[in-house]
Amino acid sequence: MVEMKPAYIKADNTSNYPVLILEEKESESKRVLLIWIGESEAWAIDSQLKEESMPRPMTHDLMKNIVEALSATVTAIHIYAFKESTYYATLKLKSDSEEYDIDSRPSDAIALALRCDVPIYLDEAVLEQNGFSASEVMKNIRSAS
Amino acid sequence: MVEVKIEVLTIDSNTGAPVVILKEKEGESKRILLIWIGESEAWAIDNKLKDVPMPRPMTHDLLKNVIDTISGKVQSICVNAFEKTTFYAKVTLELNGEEYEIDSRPSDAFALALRCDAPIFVDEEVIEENGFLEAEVRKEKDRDVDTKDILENLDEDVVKNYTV
Repeated sequence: MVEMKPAYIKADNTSNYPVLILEEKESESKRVLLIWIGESEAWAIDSQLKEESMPRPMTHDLMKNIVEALSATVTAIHIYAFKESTYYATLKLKSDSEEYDIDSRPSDAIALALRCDVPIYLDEAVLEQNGFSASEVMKNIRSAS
Repeated sequence: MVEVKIEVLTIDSNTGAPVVILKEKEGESKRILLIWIGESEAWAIDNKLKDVPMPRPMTHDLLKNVIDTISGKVQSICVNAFEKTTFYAKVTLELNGEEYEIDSRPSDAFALALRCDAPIFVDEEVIEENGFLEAEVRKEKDRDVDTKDILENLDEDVVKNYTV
């Protein structure tokens, strides 16, 4: 498993959908993974990255507040598979010293991870198969924008 | 507190924003309450009202799964205040015999209540001050063009015609 961090959200020039760029947290030649996500989840991630304060709890804030109220903790999230153009993730949750894995889309998991300040892990095989070198991707982004 | 149900989710033709129309469940002259919500929360409510199958868990499905996994239970949700132009809600959860109240936007609370089969309440004062009598709205509908578009299908299953 490799720890990742969200580096950037950008609209895909072709499809216009938001793309989340996850970047390897520690390593010399950083690899990145691109995940296409929904607009509202993009906004939930982006607002958190920019530390925007909201007058009311947004959906992922509510999720965090509920988890905390019920004395549970999110310990990590794990993007563990890529099947038929879809990434799969799990939330690692701890409650009463029991550990649980909950199936999630990566976008929701990341929006929650940022709010709970927990690590975002990616399966090494998934990164190896679907990742790019950061310099390559950033060069393309800069030339396109 | 009065129990209500989501009568209709439609689009306000003036603003283009989704609006949830809540209607009192019991009572002779039923009151209704209109709450304007965001688009993604409207999708979350609409998908559930229509039982649209999703290949992956959507955000409020995940929220329900998280609560279920840790053996919590959503007991009810309540629209409990209106300040300036914003409605406030709370989600009441139960875990190991303890009750917890969590502040929420009404739209998230509705999306969650529908998934958890939990009743939806509105504070008596909130519906008294901000609600309309169904009969009044009908009358108004005949002479007021502005409210017509929002409420024209109140008695019909407009949910199925709802598009964003």
